[in-house]
Amino acid sequence: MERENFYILLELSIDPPETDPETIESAITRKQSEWSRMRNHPTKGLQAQKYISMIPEIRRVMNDPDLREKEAAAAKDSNVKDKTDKIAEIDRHIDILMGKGYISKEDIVRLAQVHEIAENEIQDRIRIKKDEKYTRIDQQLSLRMAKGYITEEEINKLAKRHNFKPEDIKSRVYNPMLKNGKTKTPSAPRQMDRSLEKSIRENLKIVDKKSLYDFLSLHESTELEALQEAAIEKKKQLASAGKKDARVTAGNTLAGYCVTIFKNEETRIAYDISLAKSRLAELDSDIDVSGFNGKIRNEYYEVLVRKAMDFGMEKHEAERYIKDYCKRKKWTIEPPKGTKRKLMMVAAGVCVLLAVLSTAGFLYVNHREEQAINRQYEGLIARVDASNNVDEQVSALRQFIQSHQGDKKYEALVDDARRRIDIRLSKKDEKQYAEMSSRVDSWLRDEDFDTAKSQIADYLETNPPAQYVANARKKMAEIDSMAEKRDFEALSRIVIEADIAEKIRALTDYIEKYPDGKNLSQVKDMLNDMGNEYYIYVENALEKAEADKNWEECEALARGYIELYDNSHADTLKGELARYRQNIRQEQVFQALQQKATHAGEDYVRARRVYTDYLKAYPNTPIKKRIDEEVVRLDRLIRKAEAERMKNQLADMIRSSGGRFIETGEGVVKDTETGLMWTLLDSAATADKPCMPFDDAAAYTEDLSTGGYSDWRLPTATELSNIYKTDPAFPVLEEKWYWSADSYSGYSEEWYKIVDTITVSPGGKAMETRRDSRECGVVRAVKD
Amino acid sequence: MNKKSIKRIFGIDLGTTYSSISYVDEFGKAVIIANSENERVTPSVVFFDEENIVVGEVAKESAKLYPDEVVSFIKRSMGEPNFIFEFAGQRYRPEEISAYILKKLAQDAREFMNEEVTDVVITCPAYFGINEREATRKAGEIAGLNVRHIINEPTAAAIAYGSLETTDKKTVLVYDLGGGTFDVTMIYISKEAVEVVCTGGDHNLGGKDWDDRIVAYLVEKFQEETGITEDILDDPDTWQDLQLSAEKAKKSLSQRNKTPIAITHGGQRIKLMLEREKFEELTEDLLYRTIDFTREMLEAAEAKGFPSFDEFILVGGATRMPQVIEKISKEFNITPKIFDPDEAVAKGAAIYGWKLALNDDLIRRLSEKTQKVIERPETLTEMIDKQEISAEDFREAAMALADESGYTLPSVENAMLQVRNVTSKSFGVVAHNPNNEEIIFNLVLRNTPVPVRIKKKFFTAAHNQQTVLIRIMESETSKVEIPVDNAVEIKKAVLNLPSDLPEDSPIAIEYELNEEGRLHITAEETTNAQKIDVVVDTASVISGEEFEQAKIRTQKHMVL
Repeated sequence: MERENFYILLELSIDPPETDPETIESAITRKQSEWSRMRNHPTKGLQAQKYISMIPEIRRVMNDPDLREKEAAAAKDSNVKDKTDKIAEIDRHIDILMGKGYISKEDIVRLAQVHEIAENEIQDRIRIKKDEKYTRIDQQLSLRMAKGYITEEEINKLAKRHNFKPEDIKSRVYNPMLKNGKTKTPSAPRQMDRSLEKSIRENLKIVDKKSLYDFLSLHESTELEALQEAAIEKKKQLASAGKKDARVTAGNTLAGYCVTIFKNEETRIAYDISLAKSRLAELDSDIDVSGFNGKIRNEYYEVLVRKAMDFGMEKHEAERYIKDYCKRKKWTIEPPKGTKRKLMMVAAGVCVLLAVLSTAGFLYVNHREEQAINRQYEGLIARVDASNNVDEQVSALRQFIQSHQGDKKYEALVDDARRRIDIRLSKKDEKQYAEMSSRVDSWLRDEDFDTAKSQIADYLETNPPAQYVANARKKMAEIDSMAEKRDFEALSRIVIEADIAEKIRALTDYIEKYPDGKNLSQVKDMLNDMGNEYYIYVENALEKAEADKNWEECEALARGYIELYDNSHADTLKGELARYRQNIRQEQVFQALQQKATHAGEDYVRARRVYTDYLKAYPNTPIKKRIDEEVVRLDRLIRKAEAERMKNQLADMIRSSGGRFIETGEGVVKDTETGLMWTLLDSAATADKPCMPFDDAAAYTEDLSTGGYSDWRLPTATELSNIYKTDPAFPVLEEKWYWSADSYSGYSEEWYKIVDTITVSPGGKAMETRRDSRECGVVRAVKD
Repeated sequence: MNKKSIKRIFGIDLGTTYSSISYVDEFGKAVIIANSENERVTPSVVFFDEENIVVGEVAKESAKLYPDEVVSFIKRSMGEPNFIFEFAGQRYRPEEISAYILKKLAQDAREFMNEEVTDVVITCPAYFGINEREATRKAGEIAGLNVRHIINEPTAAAIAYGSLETTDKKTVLVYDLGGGTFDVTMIYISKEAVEVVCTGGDHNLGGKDWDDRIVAYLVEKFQEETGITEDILDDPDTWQDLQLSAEKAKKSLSQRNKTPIAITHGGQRIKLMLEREKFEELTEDLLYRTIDFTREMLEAAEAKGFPSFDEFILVGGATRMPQVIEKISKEFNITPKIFDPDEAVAKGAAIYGWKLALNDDLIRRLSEKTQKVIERPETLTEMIDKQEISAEDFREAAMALADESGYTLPSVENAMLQVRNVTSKSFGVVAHNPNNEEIIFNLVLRNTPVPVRIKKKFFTAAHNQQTVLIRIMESETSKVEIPVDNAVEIKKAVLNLPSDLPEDSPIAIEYELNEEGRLHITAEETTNAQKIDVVVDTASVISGEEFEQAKIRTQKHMVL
């Protein structure tokens, strides 16, 4: 087995061979990282893996002067071999192009491009080929002379073709196709998926085998069962291989393919066909060369058909293969010239006459029956013609074909019916095309290019015949170019007048809309020139969006710029992008939390828990500040709700205080015994904080404004104890203590204040205590 | 809250396409920790974004924009010594790239738990050889983690499964089709132990191969529709784009019968509909291979006295493809269970880690109490059996532990669960057979339970032989003697011999393979007691200065 030449693999100079160790090592490391990148490529990954594993061997050979020298020599050889292979290919292509009788300047330019060599080299080859051709004609003549004589016709033929002989190639490239002859497949055989074909080919390349048969070391005529067994055996063999390198992996994949492909005749035939086709890859490359301007000249077509037949195809198979290939490539095949057709028709006429003569007796016997059949058919045709609906006509004819197919007596009529169907369908196609065309034209008059295009696109969706497809596409291209012209003119105006964002939008719209536009490069240049200007705009817009915390906008702006430009500004923005994404994610998180909190409705405690739980899980989250704000807001709501509840409860209790306390207005309670007015709710329910130190308590009463009064003050200790200690007392909902206005100074290490306070509890006795003014207590304000 | 008297050990599933991290909560239940993007699994994709290194979903999405700066599927290259990712003039080995993934997992877990993540159990495919296992451990060390154990993915899945099932004894077949690897393992679960009977698989067969088939198909379709002949995958942007589309399509085809795909390349765009039937046709052979591996493994299991199994469980994201269940049901006439396909492995690792931690603590308590040296959990069971440690002492220690840690007593007592593994490879030495042909003589055969210690005598070939070259070979056969080509050399060692030793002098070679698949080899010339010790530290794994550098670099880099 031959391995790749390291000089070629590393793309090192061969002539003279590279010997500088540093250059070689840097080539190795470069390739190493290149192959590593390709390691997981969907189709080339295994190849890359194989190369990666070869690195130690490459280093060994390339660091040893003797081995390296041998390697360089081998590289030269393989280069020469490559060249001869290439020349053979060029010659073949020249042969094909000469099929039309001459070779044009255009052809030469094209061939030079295809083979990546200079035009004069192609011309040299053509000259050599011409010389060779004479030798070959001589050869041909001598061959014919060998049988003792040569007819003038034969000579004429040779002279007429005076290019090259298909027979010549025939002997060179003969390669039998799968035509066992015994099993005629009645229906079209199952097609193997092209991507699978390709995958098999790629894997075979890695294990250096030509086909799955070759992989199993079995002949192509081997029975299914034996193939199956061999596949399983192969798998076992691979499993025992110690290394799991690219070759083994490819082998395993191939063994898997073998089992699924050789499981029945149908799948096997599909593979056989695919195999034959892959042998035709050569033919494909010939077709590629013949295709020019989306067209294959008829002369080429005939040469190609002959060539395909040389590979072992029947004529109709060859024609179908080439036609299918062209269809995939969206190429049309030029119809043969008129003169030729006439000639063929004369020949065909003679044949028919001969056939009639030889079967005259048979015809006579069947005459009566035939008349009946013909009458029946004429009736059908009359009915078909009476219908105005093409689909109906076609279906009636199809029915006829279906019920009489294969019946010898109806053969001619079935053919006739087929012809009629073709005519009708083609008329229908023609009509559809004309209708579409006129609709499109009317839209074009209104300069509505988009609708015109969509009309064509709709038409193309209906799978019209190839020639109409080509025309429709051409039309589409024309419209594109008209629209492009119009849009480009508009664009030129915008670029002068509009602001930068609009300019950029217009330019990118153009590029997206016209990826092959005539003015594309100009537009791209304009766009490039605006890189700085646009960046300033983006920067400003970003500043604004950042201020608004609109991170999506930020991301879109930055991304938009990065997609357009690859400059230092773009690099800066790439850095920002991660931040924006992070912010977007956090914004999403925050919104999700908000939404979840909203679900809790008026259950603010539950809503609050949504936020605090999150904070507990992510104490360092960037949205901590916003969450804290939400928590404060909810706390306020919770207290407000709580206050409302307490207010109602207290109001109820006051009503049952035996008339001592009366609620006079919104939140104000009058003690009928003393005439003092008290707030219904204390500071715990109404202030921002549940409790406060004495100095704040004083300020709180000072600023308090409730029930329409603002002259509230701190109660004296006597006043407080009076409402709580004398029955019926002021209702108490929970244990707490209240500040009074009575304060004294004290000294303990430093000066501080002592205040009289009163502690109350539901059902308990109110108690007077003295407390440090810095403690945290509640206020119930009073007014006279 | 948990009083945390014991060290927490996290479980990490370091996958080819996705990774995840798990811990055991105060109720003894394994819980997956969501990452900072609030996802339970993190794509194993690393994006070198200038100064920063981004891991996960953002990195995966970035592959389309910056294909050359993104590394995916790195697990497939673990243990490949010549794989190098180059970025900005720096060269990174697979171990370091994996370290970034581990770092991201640990970092996010720390953020979530509000505690440092130091000790971990990392999983790897059963089919990983010595090189790949060592590479996985090194990746953890580079990430600054204390890798307590490397355990097999199917074993982890079975532990997670076993922790839920309360039945006494059960033989379970774990079919693990992950993103990049395929493992099939027969596991025997009992109250006391989780025991691997047999294992097999292919570490180059996974969900990605299914994706790749779609990609190849899309390329072909694009060429067909547009007439373009170039390979559009040569464009890295297109390649990444198609790779992502293919993965999405595959997932979507697990739910629907067809899925639309758009391909954009070089300004051309085509749309097509991929049908499930087509997808199955494209991947039939891949699925067949998993079935084939399963059959082979079953044969081996039968030979070891396990002719049947009770459950067939499916693990790994790729088992969600309906074709997998269909095929298995048809081939083995059993309805397989899909068991927590994305999370079972990480959870199992966490449970294993948790048991390790509880064990450590129990042993510490017991040796303090009894003043006896207990080296390993196995010795502890033995000592209880032999009544060297009384059941009462054990129970007391367990209760104290349960009390302090907040875990329930039964779960602490259950921490004595044992995991018994088998080796997925055979290990041998190059020798000459009687016909004087060079062969490999396998001392440890695959599917042998580990730990194992096997000693075998070889003989010198010539009189006055100066040295013996010991080539340590890894292979995948179950045969004792195999050709040299069928194995990989993982290490070489030289034993110097005393002079004038006669021909045929015996050399004893001993292979010792521990639970994690680490190999320790001793060779001894018995008459003069000349001895060498070899710990197989595998040449193809990052080491020395390169290792230290990677460690420093990983600490320096911020992982997002």
